[in-house]
Amino acid sequence: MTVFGTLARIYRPILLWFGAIILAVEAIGLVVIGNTVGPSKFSFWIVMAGAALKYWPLVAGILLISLHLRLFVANGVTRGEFLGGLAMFGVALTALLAAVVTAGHGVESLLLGALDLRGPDYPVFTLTGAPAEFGHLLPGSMAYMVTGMLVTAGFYRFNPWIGVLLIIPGAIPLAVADNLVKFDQFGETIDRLPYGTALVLTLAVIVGGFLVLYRVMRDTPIRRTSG
Amino acid sequence: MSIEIRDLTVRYGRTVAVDSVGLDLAGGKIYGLLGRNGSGKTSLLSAIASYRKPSAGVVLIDGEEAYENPRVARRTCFIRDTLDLSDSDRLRSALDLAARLRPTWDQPYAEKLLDVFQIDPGKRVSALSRGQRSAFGVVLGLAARTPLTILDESYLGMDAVARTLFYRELLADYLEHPRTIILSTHLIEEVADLFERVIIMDRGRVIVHDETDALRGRGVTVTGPYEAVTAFAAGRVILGEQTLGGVRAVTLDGHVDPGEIERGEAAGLSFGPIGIQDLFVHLTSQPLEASR
Repeated sequence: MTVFGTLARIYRPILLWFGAIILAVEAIGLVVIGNTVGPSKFSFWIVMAGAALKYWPLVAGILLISLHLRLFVANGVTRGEFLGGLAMFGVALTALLAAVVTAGHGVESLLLGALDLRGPDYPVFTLTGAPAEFGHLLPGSMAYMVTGMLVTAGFYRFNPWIGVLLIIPGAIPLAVADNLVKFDQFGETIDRLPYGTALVLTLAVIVGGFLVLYRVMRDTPIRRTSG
Repeated sequence: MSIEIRDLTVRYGRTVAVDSVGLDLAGGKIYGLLGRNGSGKTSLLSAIASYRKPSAGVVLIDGEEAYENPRVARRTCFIRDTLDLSDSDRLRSALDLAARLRPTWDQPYAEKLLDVFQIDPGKRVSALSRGQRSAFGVVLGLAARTPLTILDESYLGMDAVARTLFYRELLADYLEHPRTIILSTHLIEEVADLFERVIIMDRGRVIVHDETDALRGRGVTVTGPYEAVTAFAAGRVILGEQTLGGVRAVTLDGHVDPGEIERGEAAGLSFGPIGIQDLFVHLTSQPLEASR
């Protein structure tokens, strides 16, 4: 819990700032759309926060390996302990973000409805549809985070040339999630496979990716920074 | 904390940085680790601190294998010459993190050391000079109060005043909170008085591990007429020699009996001790086989 709690403490202010920026952009975006285009045909919140839900964990995954592993080991935490805490933190963070994006969609839908700015194609939020929305958003977020970790691990553990080559297998979780479980700004989902099967496959790739990360990083030397 | 190192080898590709090293370090002492650039000091320390997995061999700390051992990791602090922080980190954040993760962290002592070294904790790492970075490393290393503290060339960039403060604080804190400290350095004579034992590495091997006082008397310089010096040195390990005209000076490894000194002096020879730095220079400037 020490690693989890410490990472949560480190990322809390960053998340709050990021959240405030997203809210400000959403507010500005809705005002601009409302005054120029008229009733919205899509969820601006899902465009923006949905993208943030993927790319923020991707960047966080990169930073967690490239910066924080070293910090924790230098303070008496083993790699194994760090990676265990990192897994817990990753699940909690992406679940929180997916919940916030789902709830934010609800607020946006409510607000646009009240202002009569919901276009006919707008994906109206419903409480009964919320679990499915959350269930489509969360795996994607987790997959992006694991991809960020895996890609960085390739560069951290091996030399840059091998790191470049390992970007491709590192991106597998991301690619699988994008092609199996997706929820877009029009409320569309991908139905290549039944949701249960798609979810199981995506989670299997995510867990597999993390196990590969664990295997690669458990023996990695702690690199120096430039002096 | 006692350290046992068995057949430790650290390789980087084809380069052997540490070559089958075996060492027993008793707990509660200050060790000086000396060696030329590239001799394997940092690689050895990295293996002891589990920053790097040994290519072969094992490091046991208090009888437990050190690598990826949480009990050992909690009680070990390794400060490298390059700080393990990001340039954008504020020093206060680094101190907070250490306080949160280190069970033995002493925050008042850390604050005191910041005052001693005149470091503003509100600064970012990138705003520190080379000497201030080193001093901050010393703050992190000493305030962690871990039973095993490893400082790898922690004086780099420090001016004479800062180095003196560092040595003073290190000794004072060690006397108040005895623990195992390993200090690697090139400034041998400056810190030799701190060391209880000295380890000298050369080309990946430990060539000397002895009490500091024993090392001081380990070598002897013999100067005198060429023939007399040559006769005296016969059968002994010569660490170095100089000849000027008919006068020869040799540095001999090992103790010389008082009786031999008396006979030597009667033959016109003069004897002098060599310092640890001289011994280090002699030992590490010889071909490997001669230095063993």
